[in-house]
Amino acid sequence: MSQKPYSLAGKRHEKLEARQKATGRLKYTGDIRLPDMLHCRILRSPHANAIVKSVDTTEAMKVPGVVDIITYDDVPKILSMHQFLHVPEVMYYDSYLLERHVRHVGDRVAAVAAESIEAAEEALRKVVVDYEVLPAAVTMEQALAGEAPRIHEEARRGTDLVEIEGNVFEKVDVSIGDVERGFAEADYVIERSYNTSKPNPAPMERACVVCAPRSDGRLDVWATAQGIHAMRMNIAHSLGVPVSHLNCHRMFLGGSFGAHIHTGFIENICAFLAFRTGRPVRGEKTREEMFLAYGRHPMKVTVKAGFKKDGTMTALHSDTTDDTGSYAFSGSSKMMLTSGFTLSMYKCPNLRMTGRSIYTNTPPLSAMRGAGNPQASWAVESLMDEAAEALGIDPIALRLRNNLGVGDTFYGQGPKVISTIRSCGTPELLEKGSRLIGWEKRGNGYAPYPDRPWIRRGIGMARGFHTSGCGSEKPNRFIMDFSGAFIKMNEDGTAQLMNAAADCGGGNISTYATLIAETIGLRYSDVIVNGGDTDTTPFDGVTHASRGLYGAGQPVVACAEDIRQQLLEWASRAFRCGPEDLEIHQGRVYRHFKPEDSMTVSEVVLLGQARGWGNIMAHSTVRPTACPPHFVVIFLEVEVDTRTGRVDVTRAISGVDTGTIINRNNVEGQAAGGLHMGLGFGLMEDTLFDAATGRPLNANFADYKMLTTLDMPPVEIVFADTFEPTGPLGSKAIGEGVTNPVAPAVANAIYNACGVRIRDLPCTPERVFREIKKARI
Amino acid sequence: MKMTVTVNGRKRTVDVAPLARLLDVLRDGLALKGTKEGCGDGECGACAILLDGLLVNACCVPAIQATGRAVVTIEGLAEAGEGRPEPDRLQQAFVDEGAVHCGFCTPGMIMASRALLEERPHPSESEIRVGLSGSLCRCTGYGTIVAAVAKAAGEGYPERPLPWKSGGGERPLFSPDEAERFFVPESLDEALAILHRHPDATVLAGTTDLLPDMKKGRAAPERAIDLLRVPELKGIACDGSVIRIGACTTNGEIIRSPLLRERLPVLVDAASHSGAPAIQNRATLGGNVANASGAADHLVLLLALGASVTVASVRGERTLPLEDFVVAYRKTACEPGELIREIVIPLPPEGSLQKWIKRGSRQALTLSRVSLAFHLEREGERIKVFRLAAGSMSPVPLRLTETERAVTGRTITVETARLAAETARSEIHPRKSPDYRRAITANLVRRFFEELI
Repeated sequence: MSQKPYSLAGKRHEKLEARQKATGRLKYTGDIRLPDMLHCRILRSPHANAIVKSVDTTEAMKVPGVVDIITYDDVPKILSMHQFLHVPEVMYYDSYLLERHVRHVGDRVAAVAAESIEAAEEALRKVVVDYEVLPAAVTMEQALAGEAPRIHEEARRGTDLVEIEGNVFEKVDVSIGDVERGFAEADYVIERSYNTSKPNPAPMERACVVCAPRSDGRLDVWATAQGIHAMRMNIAHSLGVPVSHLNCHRMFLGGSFGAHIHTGFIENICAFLAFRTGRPVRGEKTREEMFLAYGRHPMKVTVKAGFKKDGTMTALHSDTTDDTGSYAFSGSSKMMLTSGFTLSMYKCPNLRMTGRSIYTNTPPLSAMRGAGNPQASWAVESLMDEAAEALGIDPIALRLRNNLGVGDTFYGQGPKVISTIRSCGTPELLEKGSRLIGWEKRGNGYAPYPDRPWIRRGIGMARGFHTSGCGSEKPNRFIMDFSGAFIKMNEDGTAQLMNAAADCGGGNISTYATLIAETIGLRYSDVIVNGGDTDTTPFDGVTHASRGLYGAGQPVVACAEDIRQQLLEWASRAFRCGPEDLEIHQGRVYRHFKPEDSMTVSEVVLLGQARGWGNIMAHSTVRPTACPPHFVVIFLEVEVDTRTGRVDVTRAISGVDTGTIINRNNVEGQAAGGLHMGLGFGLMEDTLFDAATGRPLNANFADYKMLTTLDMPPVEIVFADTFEPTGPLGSKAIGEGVTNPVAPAVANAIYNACGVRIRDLPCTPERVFREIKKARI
Repeated sequence: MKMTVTVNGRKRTVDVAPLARLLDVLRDGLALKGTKEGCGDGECGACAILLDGLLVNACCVPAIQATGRAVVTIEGLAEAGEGRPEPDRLQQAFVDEGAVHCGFCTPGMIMASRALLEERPHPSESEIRVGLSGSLCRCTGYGTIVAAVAKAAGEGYPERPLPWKSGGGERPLFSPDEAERFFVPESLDEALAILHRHPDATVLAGTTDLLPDMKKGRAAPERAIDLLRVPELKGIACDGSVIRIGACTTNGEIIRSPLLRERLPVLVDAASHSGAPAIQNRATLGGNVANASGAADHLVLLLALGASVTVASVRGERTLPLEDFVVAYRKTACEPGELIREIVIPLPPEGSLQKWIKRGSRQALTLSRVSLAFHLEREGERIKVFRLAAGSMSPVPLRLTETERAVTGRTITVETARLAAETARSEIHPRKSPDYRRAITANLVRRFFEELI
C-alpha cells in the first residue's frame, strides 16, 4: 500500500523545542525554583519487610530549617493505587502515602519538608525508628514457598476486598479453541521455560515534582508525568480532595520509558505537604531512589507449542509467573499482557493462557518500554528458533508460515482488548532485512579471524510488534484509551493546540504540529503547542502503549480537519464561491483555477473578526477503535568471544512497519534508541537484590550498566511501505515495538555463532561463558 | 566562602560552602540550569562542562577547586558563537541531525563534543565514540549524535578556539570558621605543614569518589586540604632509569604525555581505559593508588611494572615498593601527616613487553571484573623476568608469584602458555563468581603467551 503524497509528513522536522534543548534553555521539572519553596526528602526503610513500631521525630524537628515531618499517623487513611491507565475496577489499592508495614528496602517511613535539601537530609538522620523486622520474601521462589511471609494483609481490587492467597494476588486461565486437541494433532511439541530480568527504565532525568499552593486554595503541580490528568486523579484520590483542587502542568520529560506512568509517591507526598504547610514543596528522587521505584516485571514464561511437520502451529499454551514487587502498581495487567502477547505473536487456533501475579519484598514494578511484550517476545521468539531447528525449517520460513497478518485478530492489551490487523509489513521487512544481513549465507556461525579462532560470528533475527495504543472495536472494561484536543486559530494565522499528551522525548508534540500543518495546509512553523495543564485541556489517556501519535493524534487531526473546513467556509464568503472551490497551502487560501484569488489564513481570521463571525476553533474527543500492531523485525550480527563469553554486536538492522512516517527524525531516533534499550535488556541491564536482605546491589549508574557509545553498533533502519487506515494520516506507532524483539535476536545470534542457547536474561559474559563450557563437556 | 569563578567569560562571585558541588553552584548559585544532573556519581555525563578548557563532570568538582578557574557551560557556547542565545554550529548540528530527543543528555553531550573538537578538529567516528563514551543517552542509540559531531567538524567547527581556558586565579575567601578547616596550599611545604597540624584532614585531588560519597551521606569531611594548587605534586619526568609521576597527575595528563606515549605506552593504554574523558581529566594517579582497592585500574599495572611510592611529610620523604604501600583493602602505609608525593616507575628495559587487560561488563566506564597486567623480559628464547598482577579478584591487587615462578626460565611455547594459565587459575581465589573469574583469568593469561609464540 503506498503512502499518500503529503507535503510535510515523511520529511525531517526539527522538534519544536529542539533548539531550546540544545542550548540548555528548556526548563524541565527539576529546573523549577519558586520563592519560599520547601524541599522534601523521604525516610526510607533499610529493611525488606518490617513493621514500623514507632517513629520519634523530636530531635529531627529541632534541626534548623525543618518545617514539617509526617509519618503514617499523619497521612490520610485512604488505600490508594498509583498507575494511570486502567479502569479503577481492575486496579489494586494497596498502599498509603507512608506505611506502617514497610515492604521493600527503600519503602516510605516518613517525609520531611525543610528550607533546604541539606536540612531535610540532616533531619532524616535524626528521625528514630523502631522496626520489628520480619522475614522477607525477596525472590519469586521465596514468595511462593508455603511458609512465605504475607506481604499484604489487605488490598482492594476496585471497590472489592481481595483474597490474597499467600502472595499470589491474581490468577488467569483463559482458553480459545481446544489446546489438548491441538497438541494431539501436532507432529512435534516443544516446551521451554524462559526467564527475564528486572531492568530499570533509567530515564536520564530523575523523577521530580513541585507543588505550589495557589491563592484560591488550589494546588499547582509540575511533575515528571506521562499523563497529567491521570496523575491529578491519583493525587486527588490519595489525599481525599476533589480533582479540581489540583492543576497539573505538562512538562517535557527527560525520558521516561514507563517510569512515569504512575505516581511514584513523591508526587502525592509533596502535594500533601504543600497543603499542610501552605508553601511550595519540591521533591526530587536521587538516582538510587529511581532504582528503588521502577522496573520491568521479571517473569518466568513457560511456553508449550505444537507444530505440524510443515511448521503450522496447532496449539500454544503459555504459563506465566509475574513478580510485581511490593505493590501492584499495574495490578495483574503485566501478566495479562505478557500472556496475551505470547499467544498473539503468531496465528494459532488453539490457545491457552495460565498465569499468576505475585508480591515480593522488592521495589514496586510497573511498565518499561513494551509493557509485558519484551517478556513475551523473549519466550516466543527464542522458542520459534528452537522449534525451527527441531523441525528442520528456516527460522524465517517458520515465522512466515504462522504469520499473523491483515484480517487476523489479536490481543492488544491482554484478553479484554481484541483488535483486527489492517496493515502488516512483516513479510516485506523480513525480505529486506534478510537481504541486507546476508541471511542466506549465514550457516552455523564461523570464525572470522584466523588468528583468533575462539571468536565466533553469527547472525540472528527476531520478529515482534507492539500495539499502537489500547483501542478495541468494542469499548473494553480494562484500560482507558481516549484523547481530546482543542485547536484555535490566532489572528496571525497560527494554529494553537491545547491538549494534554505528554512528550517523553519521542517527539509526539512535534508530530501534532506536523499533523495540524499537513491537515489544515499551514507551514510547520505556523503551529504552536501549548504547555498545557489539567485546567485548560481535556482528559488524555496517558502517553504509554506507544499511543502518543496514534491515539492522541486522532483528535488532533479531527480538530484540524474541522478548522480547515471553517477556514474554507469563511474564505468562500470572501471570494463568493463554494468552499469546494478553495484549497489551503502553506498558510494561504487559493481558489482553484483562479490562483490570483488568494488570501492568507491570517487575513481570513482577521476578516471573520472584523465581520463578527466569531472564533475559528475546534474540539474533539476520540476513542480509537483499534490498536494496530507496529511490526518490527530485528537482524543482528554478533561476535562471541568463547574464551570470555563476551558478546559484541557488530551489526544491527531494525526493520519497522510504522505506517505513514510523520517525522523521519523522530521515527529513526525511536528505532535506534529502542534497539539500544533492547540490547541493554539482552546483554547487561538487570537490577540485583541480595536474596537474604533485599538490599539493592547495583542501584546506581556505576554498577548498573547500559550501553555506551563504544558498545553500541551503528543501526541500519529500514521501513515497510504501509498505510494504516485507522491511523492519523495512515500512521501507526513505533516507540515500543522497536525494543520488544531485540533481546531474543541477541540470543538467537549467540546460538548461531557458537551453539549455546541462553534462556535466562541478560546474556552476560559470565552466563554465556558458563553455557559454552557446559556445551563442551 | 566567597568563590570567584569565570563563567562563560564573565567573572562571577558567589557565597558557597567550600565542598559544594560545582554543579549546584552553577544551577542554584548562578541560575544556569542548562547543566543537568543525571546521577551525581560522575557516571552519566549529563553535567559535563569545561573547566579550564577540559571536560569534567560538574558533580565531581568541589567549589574550592573551581575557584579562580574558567568554566564554560552549555549556555556559554551559544553566547560565545553569536553574542545572543542562538544555537552555535555544533548545537545546530545536533538539532539538524535529529540528535536531540528528550534533550536531557544533550547539554552534556554537546560539551563533551566541544571538548573533543577542541583537541581533535577532525575526529574519526571511533574517536567521536571514545570522546562521548562517558555520556549516556537513553533515547537515540548514539548514531545521530555521532553524526551531528561529524557534521559540525566537517563544517569547520569550532571556528575559534575556546576563549576561556583559564580563570583569574583567585583564591577562595574563607569565613573565619572555614579558614580553620579548609586549606588551599600552593607549595608542598605548605601542604605538609598543614597536614602536620591537621593529620585527620581529608586531602582533595580528583574528588571523583569523595563528592558522590558526600552526596550520599557517606562522607562529611570536617577539614580538607586541596592539593591541586601544589606544583610539586604535578608532572611527569624521566629521571635516569625511572619515570616519576606526581601524585596529582591526572589520567588525562598521562594520556596526553608525549614522554609516556614513547617510553611507557602501557600506562597510556591503562589510563585511556580507566573511566571516560570527563573522569580522566579529574582522576589522579595518586588517588588511584591511595584508594587501595582491588578494582583500582592502575594498581594492577603498577604492581607488574615494579613501581614504588614516595610519600612525604614534614619529617621528610620515604619510598616504598607498591606491594608494601598497599596494606589491605582501602588501607595504605601512609602514616598520619603523610601524603603520596609521586609514583616511581622503573623504565622497562629495551625489548621488554608490558600489557594491561581489563574485562568489564561493557566497553567504557566499566569497573573491571578481571584485570591483568604483564611485564616480560626475555633473554634469547627464555623468559628472564616475568611479573603478573591481577585485580578485581581479591581485596587488593595481587602479584601472581607462583605463576611468575612457574614460567621464569622457560621458553615460550604452547606448553608454557598452558602452564601459566593453569597456575594462574589455581593461584587466585575470587570471592564472587569464582569459577568464571578463574576461567577468564586462565584464558587471558594463555592468550598473552600464545600471542608471543
